[in-house]
Amino acid sequence: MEKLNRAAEEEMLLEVRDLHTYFHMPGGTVIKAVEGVNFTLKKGKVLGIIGESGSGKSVTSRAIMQIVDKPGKIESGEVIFKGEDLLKKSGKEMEALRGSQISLIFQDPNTSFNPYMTIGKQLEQAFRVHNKKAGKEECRQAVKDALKLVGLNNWEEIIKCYPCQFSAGFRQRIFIAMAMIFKPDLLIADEPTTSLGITIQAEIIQALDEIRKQVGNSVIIITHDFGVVSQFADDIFVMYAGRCVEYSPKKALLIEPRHPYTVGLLRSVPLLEARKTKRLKSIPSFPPDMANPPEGCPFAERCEWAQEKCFREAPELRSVGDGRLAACHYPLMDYKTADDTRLE
Amino acid sequence: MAEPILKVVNLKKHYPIRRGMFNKQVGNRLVVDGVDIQINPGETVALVGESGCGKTVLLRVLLGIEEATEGEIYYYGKDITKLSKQEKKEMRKKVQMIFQDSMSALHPRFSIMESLAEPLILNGMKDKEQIEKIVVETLEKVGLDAKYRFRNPESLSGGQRQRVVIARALVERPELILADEPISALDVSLQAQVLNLLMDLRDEYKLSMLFVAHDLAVVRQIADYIVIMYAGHTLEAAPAAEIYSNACHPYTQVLLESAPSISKGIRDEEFRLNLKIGDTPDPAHLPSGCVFHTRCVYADENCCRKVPERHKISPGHYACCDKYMEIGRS
Repeated sequence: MEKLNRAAEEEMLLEVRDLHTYFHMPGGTVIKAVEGVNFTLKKGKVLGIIGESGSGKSVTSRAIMQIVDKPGKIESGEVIFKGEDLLKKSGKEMEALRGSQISLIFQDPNTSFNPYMTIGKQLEQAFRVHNKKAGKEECRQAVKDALKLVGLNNWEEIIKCYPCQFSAGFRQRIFIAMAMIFKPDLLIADEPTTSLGITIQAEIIQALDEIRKQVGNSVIIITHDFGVVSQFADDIFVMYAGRCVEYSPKKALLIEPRHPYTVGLLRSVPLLEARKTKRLKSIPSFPPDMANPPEGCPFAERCEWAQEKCFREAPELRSVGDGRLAACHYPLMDYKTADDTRLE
Repeated sequence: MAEPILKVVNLKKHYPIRRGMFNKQVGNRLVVDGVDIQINPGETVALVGESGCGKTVLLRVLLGIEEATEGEIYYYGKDITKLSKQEKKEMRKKVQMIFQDSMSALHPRFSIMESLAEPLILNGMKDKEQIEKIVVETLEKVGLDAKYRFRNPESLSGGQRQRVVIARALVERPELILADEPISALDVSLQAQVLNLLMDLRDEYKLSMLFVAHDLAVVRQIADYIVIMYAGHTLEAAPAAEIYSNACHPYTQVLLESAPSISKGIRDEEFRLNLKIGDTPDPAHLPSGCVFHTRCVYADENCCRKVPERHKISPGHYACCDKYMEIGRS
């Protein structure tokens, strides 16, 4: 049994190769929202994509699902899911995949539901999308299983209620149930906890973690909160201005970040455990305007280690040892977060 | 000791629930139900609580946008309901607010200059050159180039807009700033920037601050005194260091332990949440007894029935939990 599990763990689920997604704005401006993104995700693993708003992390997830809204267009790349390129699939084929094999949960649980329909009806409807001939009993069973999966054991009361009768945290939980009704292999969570309070946020992350242990699905969690990815993800993928700047196993990235932007982000997070409360070392200035991005490295202007070459030439994502990747001409090889005075 | 700038005693704000043809009052939403806060000159008090716990309503009451149902607010020792018109005007000038959502806090059709000049004009300043001078000076203080004053809010990024909102609170040189989650709508890298900015400004202008947040890690950077709020009630209040080293209320302990953090990630810690699944209670139907008992893992029958007392733990440190001795400290 154990051997089997290990073999399953090694199995590749998703591979994204050189994905480009541009937005062609009226008036001719092209916004390069995603500019060459590469990553792989194994079965049962969690990938955390972290970045600031406008860094292209949501667009990446939408490109995987192929629900990029106009004027956005997937320009090139490959999205290989279970050995097949999703970008070559027809609309119908994608439709069959969405919900059943890949699910997406959004940030705002308020707008994800129809306010005039009971929870039970909506979950049933979600189930019938891929199971048109399902009988009443079968639907009920599926809805019950899904709600129990997210820890809502009083499902019989819940299915009779309307979305407005629940608070945001509960609604998000029910929405996760809806996304997991077919037990998809891949769950993409786009800022699932951003609009929630601290304890509710912890509850939702815990629920996602428990579901993953039970179902064995992979998760891509998109967030700007370093705390969430640090505790939940196996690998972390840092995005900045539409590019991947660092991609590495979690622990290595947290202990020894190689890219200056990762360092800057880690330094910006206030720590509960810090002994002394010094001023945070923030990243100066603002992210670049995506309509006219700078010529060289997009982070050069805010980087304290930037040299002349950085302003000239955009760095490629390359190996910096130990299976880690960083897009930097001069990756920081000996920076350790522990040296940061805040943790002494 | 100097007179506190603002002192709030047992403040309550209830909203009536009306139903039926004659708008009969059928109940009350107890949004804020007994909060005490004291802000001394130069001190930063943080108000920490989750969404829906009544933080924002409390600020609105303090600003005088809404009237308190019960309780007293003292501004420099004077009850604010008894201030004369002149004194009220003075207070409005000296107490300023920073809002969370910078987009809705600024007039979309006003240039930054107009937005910043408006409070000055309303207070009777007529000299245009002087107004411009103050605006430019304040913009530079918050780290924005003076040329931004001709722009509209929508052409600025979120971080820049938040700086404008801070600048607007500063143009009248206030003594007390009420900051309603000033950084929670911002990106991580900008959060640190704006937090540092607020600290610099506080030191430079000797400001007092009431800093509302939902995150104890953020508050740790800035606060001298922390008040923990839940469902309209104060659950624990203590000097900042005391909260982090000696939290007594189970809710505070949950807030400290449950937040996902980088160091927990490094140590490979599992999620631990010492809390019953549930949600913050609805202010229209608050639980009986202790408001936290529906989610508290230590709650027993007594907690459901009896409203907990305010226990003094050390000077300035209060916790509203009858079982704090048994629970132990984190």
